[in-house]
Amino acid sequence: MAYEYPHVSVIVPAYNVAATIKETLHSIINQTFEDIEIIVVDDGATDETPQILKTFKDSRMRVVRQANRGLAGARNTGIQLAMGKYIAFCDSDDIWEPEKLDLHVIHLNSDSNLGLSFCGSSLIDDQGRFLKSSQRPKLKNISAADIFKRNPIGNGSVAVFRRSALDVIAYRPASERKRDWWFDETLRQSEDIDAWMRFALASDWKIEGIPGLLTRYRIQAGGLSANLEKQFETWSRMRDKVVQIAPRFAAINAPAAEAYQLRYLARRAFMMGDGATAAKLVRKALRTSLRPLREEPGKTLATWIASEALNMLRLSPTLKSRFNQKITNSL
Amino acid sequence: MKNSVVHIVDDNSWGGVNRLLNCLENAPFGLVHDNHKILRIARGTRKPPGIAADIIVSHMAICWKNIPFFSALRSTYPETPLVHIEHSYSERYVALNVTKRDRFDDLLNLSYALFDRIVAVSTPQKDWLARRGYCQQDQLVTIPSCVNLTPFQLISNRTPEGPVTVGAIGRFHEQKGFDILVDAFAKHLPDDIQLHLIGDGPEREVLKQKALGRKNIKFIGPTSDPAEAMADCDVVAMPSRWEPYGLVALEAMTALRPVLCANVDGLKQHVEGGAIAVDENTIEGWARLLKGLVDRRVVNELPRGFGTANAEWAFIHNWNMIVHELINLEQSNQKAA
Repeated sequence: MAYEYPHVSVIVPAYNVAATIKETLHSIINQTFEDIEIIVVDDGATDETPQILKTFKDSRMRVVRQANRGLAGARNTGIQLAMGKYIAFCDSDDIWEPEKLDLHVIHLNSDSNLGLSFCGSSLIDDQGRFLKSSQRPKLKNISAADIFKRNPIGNGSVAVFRRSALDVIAYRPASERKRDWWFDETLRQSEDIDAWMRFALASDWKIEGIPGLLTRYRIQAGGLSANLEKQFETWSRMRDKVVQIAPRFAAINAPAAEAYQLRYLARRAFMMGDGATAAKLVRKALRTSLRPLREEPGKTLATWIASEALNMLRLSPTLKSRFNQKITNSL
Repeated sequence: MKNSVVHIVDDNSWGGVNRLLNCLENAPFGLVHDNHKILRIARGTRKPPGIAADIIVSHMAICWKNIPFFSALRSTYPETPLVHIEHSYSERYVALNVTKRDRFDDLLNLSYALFDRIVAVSTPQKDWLARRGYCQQDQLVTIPSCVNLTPFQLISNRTPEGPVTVGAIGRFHEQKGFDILVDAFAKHLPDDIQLHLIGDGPEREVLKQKALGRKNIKFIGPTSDPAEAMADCDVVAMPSRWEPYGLVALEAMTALRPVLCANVDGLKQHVEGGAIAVDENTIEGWARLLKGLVDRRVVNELPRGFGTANAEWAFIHNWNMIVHELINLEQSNQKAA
């Protein structure tokens, strides 16, 4: 019998994820949609990840190991090897609900102009406990401007592409001899939104979400607010690429997009309990563009007021963290 | 008997289409089977003029404003085969310019249904139109555009003196992406590689501002003789953001100038024909590529395309074929009726 290609290729980049990879892979193996291949790209892990991967015996799964290239480089290797008509990504600390792929396959099968199907996410902590907030993005009529400002494809474990559509963003940098890049390997953050933006600005494939929180996206505790500044830097590099691809589009949308990004980072700083940074970022956001205030007044004002309040609080650390908890849940 | 083919053009596209049809007029006697004529109409005309033709070919842009004209054309000449040449739209055009996608889909579906044939000007454009299902499979034909290439065949090789010169030829408009090139030259490239900007357009002042004080960027201005302008260039660069076909690539390859281009839309077809694709159509991408060309010996070794000797003949042949086919079809329809 001739070999039949799997319907969906699931690409799982894995770098030092011993704590979470098991749960992630189980959630993929147990998908109700079974016609899949799972390509785990061990991106030069130095912990027990390789040993853990060896314990999996599912015939649909294979592991490739490479010297560390980063998240984008691991995904690119996976895409290169993928045989499926559709390509799904799942980062190795996130979890899929069992019917996720089933629903995306129905979605993609139903509309031949649909290139990218995504969904909302619930948020979980280190222990896998659900946080109160979630990602419930806009689902229909997604334009490049929507992605630039609010990025509805909010993490690396929600997107399912039609293969022929994904290949629109393939390119081969002069320094690369082996295979194409889909994700930009020179970016160590913002590689997702960079790829989604290039996809939206290079093709007329439809981008659409399906209802439901089908991915559990893990928010790692800890983290330093110093990293937020670095994150803003890489985001700015992505923006500069957008300016070159679409100058007119960027002239209209870049300031608002920057303000939204700063607001997002302010919220992250807030969750870390760093009121000073949060307040600084919110103020910068409002100076950059007032469009978030006009387009989403509630969320923007709440972020602003909460950040300023936290900044002004000079309370004991316990009180501060209790305040944090409360207000985080209400945001 | 020679059939009469009337090409309808509005002021917007008159210059370009004129050059296109020149290719048919300049062909050796007997090669073109039919009489091709241009009918120029004013922009915004709603009522089609009286046309005595066996086939009517539209070179006008598809837009809501032109819909009354197209539908009047169809109803005035219900028996005459109508052909539309899609000079304007491509996948990247839509990605970068169209915000109301549903409305755009309606526009194309509605307009294309009025024509017997839709002509794509490149294979990538045809693939895109077919994928989107804007027209029936048997309605869609590909005829790569062409111009009279003789002047470009007559250009002599560059004399190997002075700095390497990169030519950018066309309208100074966001579409052509010359801003990317100018930035690459201004920010990253030494004076021993030169950029010649040949043309004019709405972005002129922006480009001049970017090039301010840089000795390696020269504005040549618009020219009535593109072949002459190309004679002074060693290579031709096309950093276009969208491009249904990209005639300049064909002209440059005819003149045996290596073509460097973005790997988008119709330009992909030229890459298959021997043009060199820039890895990323960004300032850094172009700077990386062009830095390697400062040495003239490297330029001399670049591929010059796989030859364009066939292009004019293929264009003429394609037109003979489509006219022949449509006339036959019409006659058999009449018999059946």
